[in-house]
Amino acid sequence: VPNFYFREFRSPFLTDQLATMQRRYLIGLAIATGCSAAGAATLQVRASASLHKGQGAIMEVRVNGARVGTSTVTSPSTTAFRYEVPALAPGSKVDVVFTNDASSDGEDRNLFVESISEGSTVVLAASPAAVFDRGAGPNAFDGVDVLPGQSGLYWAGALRVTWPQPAPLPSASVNEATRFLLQASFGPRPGEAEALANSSSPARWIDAQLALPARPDFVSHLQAKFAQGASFRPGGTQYDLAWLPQRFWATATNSPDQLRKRMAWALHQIWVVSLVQSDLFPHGRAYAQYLDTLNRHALGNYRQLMEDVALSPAMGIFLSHIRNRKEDPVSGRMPDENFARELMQLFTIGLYELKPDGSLRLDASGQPIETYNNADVMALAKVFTGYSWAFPDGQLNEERFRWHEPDYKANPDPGIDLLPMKAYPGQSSTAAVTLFAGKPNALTLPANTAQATRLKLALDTLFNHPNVGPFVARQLIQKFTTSNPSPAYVQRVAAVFANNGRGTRGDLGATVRAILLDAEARQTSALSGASPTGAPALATKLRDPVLRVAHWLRAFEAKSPSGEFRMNYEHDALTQPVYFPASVFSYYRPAYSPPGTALARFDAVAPELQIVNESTAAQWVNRAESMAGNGLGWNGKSNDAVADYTPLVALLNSGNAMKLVQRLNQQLFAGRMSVKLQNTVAQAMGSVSGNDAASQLYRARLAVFLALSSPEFTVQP
Amino acid sequence: MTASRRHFLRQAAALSAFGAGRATPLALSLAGIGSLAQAANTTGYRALVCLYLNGGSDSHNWVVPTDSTNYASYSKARGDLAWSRNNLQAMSQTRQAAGRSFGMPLELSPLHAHYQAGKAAVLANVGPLVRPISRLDYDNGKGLPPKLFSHNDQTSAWQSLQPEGAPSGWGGRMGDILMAGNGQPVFTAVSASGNAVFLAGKQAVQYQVSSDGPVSVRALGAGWVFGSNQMSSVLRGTLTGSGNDHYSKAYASVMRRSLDTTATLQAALMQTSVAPLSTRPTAFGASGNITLSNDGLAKQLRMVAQLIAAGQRLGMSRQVFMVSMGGFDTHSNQMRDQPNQMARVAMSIDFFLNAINAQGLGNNVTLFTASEFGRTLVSNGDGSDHGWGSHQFVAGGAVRGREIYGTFPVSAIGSPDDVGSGRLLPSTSVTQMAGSLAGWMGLSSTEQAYVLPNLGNFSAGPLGFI
Repeated sequence: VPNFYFREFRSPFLTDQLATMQRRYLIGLAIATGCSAAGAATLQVRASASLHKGQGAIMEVRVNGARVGTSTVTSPSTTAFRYEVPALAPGSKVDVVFTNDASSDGEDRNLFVESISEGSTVVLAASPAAVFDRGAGPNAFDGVDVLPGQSGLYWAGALRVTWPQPAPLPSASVNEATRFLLQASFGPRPGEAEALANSSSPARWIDAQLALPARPDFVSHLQAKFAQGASFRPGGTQYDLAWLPQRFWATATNSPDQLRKRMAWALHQIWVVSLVQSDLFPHGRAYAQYLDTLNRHALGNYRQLMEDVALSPAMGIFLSHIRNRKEDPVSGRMPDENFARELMQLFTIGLYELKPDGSLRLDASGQPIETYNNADVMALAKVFTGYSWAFPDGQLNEERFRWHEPDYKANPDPGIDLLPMKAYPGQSSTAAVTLFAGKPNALTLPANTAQATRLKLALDTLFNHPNVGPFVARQLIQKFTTSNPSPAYVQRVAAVFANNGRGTRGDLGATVRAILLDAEARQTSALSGASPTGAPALATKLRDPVLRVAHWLRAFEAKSPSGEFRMNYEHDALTQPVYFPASVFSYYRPAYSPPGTALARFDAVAPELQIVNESTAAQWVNRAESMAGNGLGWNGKSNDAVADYTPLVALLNSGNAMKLVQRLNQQLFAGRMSVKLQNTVAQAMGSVSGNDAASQLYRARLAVFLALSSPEFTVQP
Repeated sequence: MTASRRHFLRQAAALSAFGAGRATPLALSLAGIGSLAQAANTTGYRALVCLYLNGGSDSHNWVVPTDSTNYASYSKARGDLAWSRNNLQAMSQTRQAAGRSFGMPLELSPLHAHYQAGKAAVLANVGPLVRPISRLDYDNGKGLPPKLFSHNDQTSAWQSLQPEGAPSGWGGRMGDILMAGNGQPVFTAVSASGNAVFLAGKQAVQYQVSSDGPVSVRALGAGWVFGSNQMSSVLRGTLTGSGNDHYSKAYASVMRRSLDTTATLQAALMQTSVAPLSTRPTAFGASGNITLSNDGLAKQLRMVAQLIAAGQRLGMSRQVFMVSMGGFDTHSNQMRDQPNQMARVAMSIDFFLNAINAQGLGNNVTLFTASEFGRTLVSNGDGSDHGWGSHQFVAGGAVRGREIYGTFPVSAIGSPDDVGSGRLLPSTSVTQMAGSLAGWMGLSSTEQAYVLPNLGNFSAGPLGFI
């Protein structure tokens, strides 16, 4: 709907002009709805003026030398003027002529032209496609006294435009490739979507990603820091947990194994270990090991992930099962239940029994069926007793179990924090344990079962619980493609989790492949809101602040002057500080539905909206201004994540500002930027008046700012 | 105002038709409320402040039995988690069983002072209940709130009185009824600690403010942005527009609310004067030094004090606020961390009550503490695990303080209130506690039934603490 045309028709027109204006509006409507008369086009000039003796500026518009209209510009604020013109081929000459320059008694009549546009072409007055030929009458066209194109016409003369090439919409195939990469990675860099569309396919891209090996990105980063000396180790003045989120940003921006990194980021939000737990502060390298574990198993097997994260010292500290003491009948002491509970509730099976499509199973009275009760939590807690830091086997005594910590200043560095926790002899509970009594998946561990066997069987039992597939599939789908998957979509992905086609359960590479290649994820035709219920019909989700920043970093090939992307705590204000979620419940909950919205009425969820509020929404706009400007982060001398907008300036220099807008439309919106926002951004660039290189860069920044701060951008297409 | 309030009630009744398919325990009370004759009393000014202790606070250690029998069983059950007796300050009270006495740790001294001055009370062993239940009911799994002992589920139980995923909380539902009487309805339910279901209403939207106050969009106030002097008007359009999808529409509505309210609120806040937070490090007992000016909870409460002051200029008559503090999930290092947490809470409450008194609104503002659950009485060697009932504080000039309400349990393993490892079966429900607070806020009994869906399951009448 051409709201745009409505908005431009402001009141200062005289009544005898109204009929003409209405006619022009109808033409505008016809064009906007794709029914234009053959050969006819509407040229729009956005202009304002300063007056002399109450008289406005006379603006004459010519196409290829023939006059198409004359207007008197009287308003000091920019107004749109429209003219019916023949179709404009590239190379056509469009002149905007200022004919009544005058100045006296401190009054100066000038004409200011922001932009001249038709269809998908927007020419800014201050652009390489325009020159200003000064002179009155025929001297306006004599090629003498010619200045570069500029917005302010302070003398009689003609702003002469050589009509540039149009700005085609991004192609459907490139849009689809972009959309795929926005889902599957931290966003496409320039050219990547084109390459995928032209010479690859989503399936081949995934296969290539699955073949890339995992690398110990985080441990190696901290190792390199530690190697700089004692002051860089825990307790030293240079030691800084911010190294961990910084490494996240550096690898998200530059690492080739994008699918693995995006999956590890998703898994971090399920298998949460948060640096808000102050007991983790001295153990930054143990945390790095947890992150590398997520990376290592991100496309591997869920069962191995379960075990390696369960035994990672970082998780042990966060959910307090490191040094967890066995029960003591004398004092009544019971094992710590923290990890046991969250392992079931959040990491594997959830609270209620699920059907293969993720919907609730109900009992005979229509009630959900609990997967476990508190007795199961207390039983599983016993399995996670007796673990602590992996000191050498001969030293695993009670004193070490309860009190000793790794010595990060030791030389050579024993790296105890990099090893899985060990079960200390005599410290683990040996009591008989029954899990899920009375259920088909019940497990009984007789008294005195070996600790390694207890752990293995307990984890096997959880891993083989029929809930795991749908429980994990739904959450991963929400992280990659859509907040509201259909039950059938969940079921298809859960089936691949149950069996990767080669008889293996828990293959995360196969699972994410199924998520990304599913017909529901790849669906492109239906528009949101088009379904009969009004529920979101297209597989989309909101971008959380981290994904918004990541997509920006890659779309504009951001560089870090220090190489370390020192964006420390500036994401706090957006309430998504990387690796510092508030609790084991992560940054936001998968079932959050914003009250009072259409989403809630349709029983749809929008998890990312849980951290959008009056403050964070305003903060995001301010952050977007920095991103469009000098960048984010600080390295002591300059911003430390700086986007490269020179490709955008090059598009502006083509003469058609809409080319820049279409690049943004493709890179950031996968072609789904609304026409209204496209036009607003293109024309807003005309409000920058200078015609030097700095002004062109300003225009690019302004366009990026408007795009990044728009509510449309918060949607991952 | 009554007219517009009724208008809301009609809307709310109509809205409930959308609820089909979702459990709607509110539908009945909404139908009842539609014909109600008596309206809420919204004269004067009253504000309710929820101080939420995230993680499940171990309140066994906040109010401790000091008579020899109960201290001995407390001490035996707690082991390494027990406070030493000489760390406890005596609490006056008249309502508990003869021979019982109680104390609060030194770390709570600033709160203890308000308690002894009659401006704070304790509500003993309160927790989420659907209806009154016995130990036998518990053993048979009858009438239990869903998913006891789970953080997010019991958070929902406390804040919404409904299972997790509930779209509204009892603070927000109070706001539904009370917002029409406010000069700026948008500021009826205000959170200084992010998104919490407690303040979500069916109509009332929780307004979220940072502890530094509302955030402005810089570019809207700047004359020039990236070489353009027109960005203010352009940006206002792009920020409030959206795509043709429900996600960006929902986002844009938050953005719009932010832009529409920030200037109003900032202007009102500019005219308030609330004392600054102290920059002097202070310690109580084993708390270690606490500097209020660096403390997250104190900052939130100072912002609420400022908002209450600003509310007087904005024509507010009833407001509900939320602040919170994390770190109470003390599975480990409890004896290291709890003293500091207690002192932070006590000092922050003390600052807040004094700031409100300085405005002359001491009798108009009531603060209460809440937490998703209490914890086990037994130790896991270094901390405690998830429980159920807990002791909470209510503070303010309207509170009948210097008293412990409800029934304080016997602090021993195997007591009638112990459902295992010293997890307490609540003797008073959150619903009853909320009912007393709702009555103080001026809600009629019919309106209370809308706010508190299971209120009718409990014996009538306020608990007497306010």
